[in-house]
Amino acid sequence: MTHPPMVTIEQVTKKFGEVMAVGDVSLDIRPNEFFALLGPSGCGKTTLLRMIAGFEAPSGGRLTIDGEDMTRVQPNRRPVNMVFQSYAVFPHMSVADNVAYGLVVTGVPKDEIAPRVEEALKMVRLDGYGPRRPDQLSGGQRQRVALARALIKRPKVLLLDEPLSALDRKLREEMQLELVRLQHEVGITFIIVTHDQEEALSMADRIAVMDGGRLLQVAPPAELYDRPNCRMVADFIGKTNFFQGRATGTENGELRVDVEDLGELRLPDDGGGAGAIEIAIRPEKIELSSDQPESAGIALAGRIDQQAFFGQASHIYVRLPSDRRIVCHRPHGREDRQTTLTPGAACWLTLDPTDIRLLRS
Amino acid sequence: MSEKAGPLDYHRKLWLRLWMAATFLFLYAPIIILIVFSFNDSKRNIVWRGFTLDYYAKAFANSSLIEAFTNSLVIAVVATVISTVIGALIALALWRFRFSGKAATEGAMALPIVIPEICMGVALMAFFIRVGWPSGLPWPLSLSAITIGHVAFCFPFVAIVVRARLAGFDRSLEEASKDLGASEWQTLMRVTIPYMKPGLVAGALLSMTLSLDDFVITFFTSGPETLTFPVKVYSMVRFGATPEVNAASTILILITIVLTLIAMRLQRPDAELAQ
Repeated sequence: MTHPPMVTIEQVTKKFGEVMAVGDVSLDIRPNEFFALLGPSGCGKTTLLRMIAGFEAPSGGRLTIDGEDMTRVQPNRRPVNMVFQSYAVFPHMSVADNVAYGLVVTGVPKDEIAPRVEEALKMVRLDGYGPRRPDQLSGGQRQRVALARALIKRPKVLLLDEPLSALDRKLREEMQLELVRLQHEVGITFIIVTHDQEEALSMADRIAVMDGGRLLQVAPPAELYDRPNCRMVADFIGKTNFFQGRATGTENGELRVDVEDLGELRLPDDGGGAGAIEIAIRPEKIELSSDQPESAGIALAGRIDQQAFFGQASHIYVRLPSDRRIVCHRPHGREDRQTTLTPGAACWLTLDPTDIRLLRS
Repeated sequence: MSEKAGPLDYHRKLWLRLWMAATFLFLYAPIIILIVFSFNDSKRNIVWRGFTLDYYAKAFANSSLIEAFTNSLVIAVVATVISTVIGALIALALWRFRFSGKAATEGAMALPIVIPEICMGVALMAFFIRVGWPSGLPWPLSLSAITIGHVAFCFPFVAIVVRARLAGFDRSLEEASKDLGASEWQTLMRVTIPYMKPGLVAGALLSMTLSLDDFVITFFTSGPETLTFPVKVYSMVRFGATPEVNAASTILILITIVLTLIAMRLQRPDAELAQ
């Protein structure tokens, strides 16, 4: 059973003068979805969000929210609310007045406002903070005020513009969980803009990766991670080792490819035929050992180049005879005693061909 | 045991304290002497001859001085209100919009500050004569020419102060307001103007003071029958400075101080007011 989409974006473009900020983006966002727009800065994700909020008018295309055409509708007449990157908490009002603002200006009866403010503050765990002034709050608390202020309007879609970028790491992780909890609680569509891939992967139901104003891939986090559809996505989401190669032909439903350093491989046929290809391998899929492994798979000899400790895993850089550097991960506490990691030590890398991702440009 | 003063312990350096005392003395001694000598029981008012309030009574009984004083206050209030509105609107337009000739507008707006007052005075006088501005109107319309002249040099100050205040305004506050359902007008009244308020108060106070004590432009734009306080004081001093002038000036200083205190009170964060 499919629901009609909550937000549809049809061939939307936005030009600022000659600069194409968003180019021909089409996208459906489902009801109750936690959707992330992910990309490097300047990729057009914020412009797209601002078009959904109504702060920018599209240069072309159409935008509907809950089935209604919103392309030219003013921001104060859209059933969406936004949490700004700077939070934009009104400095001259108390927390309660901030939260009540959206109800006061739209003429909600007075006796209805107070209980709703209380409820909204409780939802973001700020009960009792009503009389405080914004300058008496921490960054994380101001963020919650901005959230309560947007949610009290009971919007159909909540827009979040880089909401966590100003928080320190620990608070950010806490707020990520909090946002997911809130989204389940209120059951409305969340669209979040972020440049932080971990944030998108950990929170979103689906992620749209953007670059240069274009949509590269829209997929759930795990699919995006395991099956990126292009180099840019593979590179942006997590760490990846890339190898250039050529597809030379098909054989028994398998594609024969010739890849630098790895030699000839057989991969599942993607139907793309012969031509230049690229393959990507995630660092955590590569096994590291001191001795030549006996198991089947592709084995490469190299020398330890560098290592960096990241807590739960170490990133180990290995240099191949061809001078290529490969990175692999080794979980902390699972090191085998035999493998020496001193730079220059000989080592072996093993990888399973099924972990190889084929990319075409 | 006293330690040696550190590099940033300015308040512990004797010569700096002396310097500060000298500065305050230089700034405020004339004003204090003016106030003290307003109580002097001497017509020539050169040496102290004893305390009296006679000259205050005299000043209040001087109908032309009171008239000049009233004129000054009326002009100052009207000119301040008009200047604050015009100045705030210009500041908003310059902050908010991009338009051709914006830099030129900004420069032209600041001109009345830069142009020597005497030139402004002559120019305004020539202008009023050229357009045939009616003289001999009944009060308070007789003050219209002076008021227009005062607005012309007061509003740029308001505009500059308010513009400086707006420079720190986060534009997303306005967007947040509209996002939450407010109209342009509601956003202006509930978000933008409250943010501008300290700038508005400071600008209004500035133009009030400028208008109250303006002599040059007033001198050129006033008709023969309208007097303002500074012009009146000037004419009184010409026949010798009696304590009456001091008394009138003291009252003006008092009014200014009260206005400043009110403005400071208004600028205080609402949190303190509420408690």
